[in-house]
Amino acid sequence: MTAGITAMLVGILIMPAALLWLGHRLRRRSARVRGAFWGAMTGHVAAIILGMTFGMIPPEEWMPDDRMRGAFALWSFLVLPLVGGVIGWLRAPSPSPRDL
Amino acid sequence: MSARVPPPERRRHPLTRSAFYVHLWAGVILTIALTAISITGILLNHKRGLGLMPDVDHRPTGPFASALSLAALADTALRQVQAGATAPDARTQVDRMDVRPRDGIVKVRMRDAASTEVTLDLNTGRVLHVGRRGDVFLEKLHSGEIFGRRGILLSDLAAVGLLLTLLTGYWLWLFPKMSHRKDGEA
Repeated sequence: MTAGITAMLVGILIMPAALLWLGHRLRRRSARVRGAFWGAMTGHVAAIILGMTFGMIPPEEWMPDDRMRGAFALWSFLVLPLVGGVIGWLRAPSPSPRDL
Repeated sequence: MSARVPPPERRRHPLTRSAFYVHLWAGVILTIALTAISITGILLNHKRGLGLMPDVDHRPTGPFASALSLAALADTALRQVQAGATAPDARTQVDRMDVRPRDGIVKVRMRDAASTEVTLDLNTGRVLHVGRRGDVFLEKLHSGEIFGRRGILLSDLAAVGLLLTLLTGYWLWLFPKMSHRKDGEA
């Protein structure tokens, strides 16, 4: 099994499970975790649309030097939620001293 | 001002609780696989209308007994594909042959990236159509075969997940109705 296929399987099976776990009792979690959740969720939804589109390109149109298809159809399911999660984490308001 | 009365404690049947979590987890985790299977399934259902599969209208030009040999027909199809290719590949092989005596044709499918299919007249060997079979890739994607022989397990997993989601969904809909009826009778 190639690294790309492994990334895709993690992205389509483990990542939704992680998001479901993270989304449990979301309102009780900190602002940073909520930001990471919504960032990752946005990334995952974007990955579903992009991955589905690129995944259905027929083989006769595959090119030896084509990197876009592999990037979107395989890696996006894992990478986009992670990137979205990090962006959401960083953009969330940091806890004020009163909350600490 | 009346005091706020706390709602009575809702005790869920253990089976209902399990059904809820199986429904939730199977639904969320298998969303992508099920979406891909659904989309490819719809496309495959309409493969003729979408032009993914060549449809040749033909009548037999002679009795089936006088049809050319399979080897001769395969050779004609292979030569046709190599003559029409921009970059002929000597490694191209015949994958399968679909003989249709009622229509007097044979469909010869090649083992190449485009799954090229040549339709020939069974009796004369005349080339009726050359085109790619777009549905072959969709079928592989639908079954999970595109990811290798073990890939079909992913499709199996999604199918089992869908069954569980359907059964647990049905239970979650039915159980409150059953328990309400029981409460009404008591």
